[in-house]
Amino acid sequence: MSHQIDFTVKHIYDSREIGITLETTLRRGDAFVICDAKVDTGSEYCLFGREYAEQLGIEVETGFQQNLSTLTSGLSAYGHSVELETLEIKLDTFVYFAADYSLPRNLLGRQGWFQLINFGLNDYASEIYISPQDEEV
Amino acid sequence: MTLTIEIEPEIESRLESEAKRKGLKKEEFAKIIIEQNLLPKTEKCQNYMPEGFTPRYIGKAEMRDFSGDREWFRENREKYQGQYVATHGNRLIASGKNFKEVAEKARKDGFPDALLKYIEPLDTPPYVGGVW
Repeated sequence: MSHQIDFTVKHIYDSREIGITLETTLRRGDAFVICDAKVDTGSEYCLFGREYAEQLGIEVETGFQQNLSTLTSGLSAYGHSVELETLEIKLDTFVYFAADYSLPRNLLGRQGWFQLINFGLNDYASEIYISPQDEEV
Repeated sequence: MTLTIEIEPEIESRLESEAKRKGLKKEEFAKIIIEQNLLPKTEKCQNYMPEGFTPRYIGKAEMRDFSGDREWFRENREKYQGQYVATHGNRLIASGKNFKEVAEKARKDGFPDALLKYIEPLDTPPYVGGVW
């Protein structure tokens, strides 16, 4: 049995980078910041460095606090609503910002990103296929 | 509501064994399977954000072309490892160890849409990812 999903966007990513990296715009009101983020199906949430929240004028500690686990340790993060843009897709969504500075990587995870899109990957060819979900989640 | 359904013996066998593994009656486990699959999608999201907020697609994003930024990164990654950089096209706008200073210089120089990126040292161990 074969299955087919149609995608609106195809993107070739740089396989020489560590992880699959996408340019990402975060917006809050008139403020915006452009950074890069790793596509990470193993991440339950979207997580960004505290520095990016501050560029948006967000007071990090006023957010929805969560303690997050990683493979080896944990960290505290605060959730905030933002507009998130990647590969032509603009979402009104909820992401977390690390409480501490210098998070080495930003992550696009399941809740807040994957759940709002259809996503296809051909890692051998460094190809991503993506389109928005038609409905709210 | 009481529901009576016919299922294949093989499926019934799998249902029984999986229910037993979870310490449940097969009827209880079947009820859980149905409820989980038909749960309103909004409820699936409530565990990570305040009640009342519904994430959604809001339209096509007009993002600039980053191919020049990527090219700059490929050519200069080694030189700027361990630093934050702000690029716009194939052009370095600012660099340094302090993110805030790099971001502010990019804005001050007229590049609010610079890509702000941390260049990891080349000897950084491979990333294995995941927060939950």
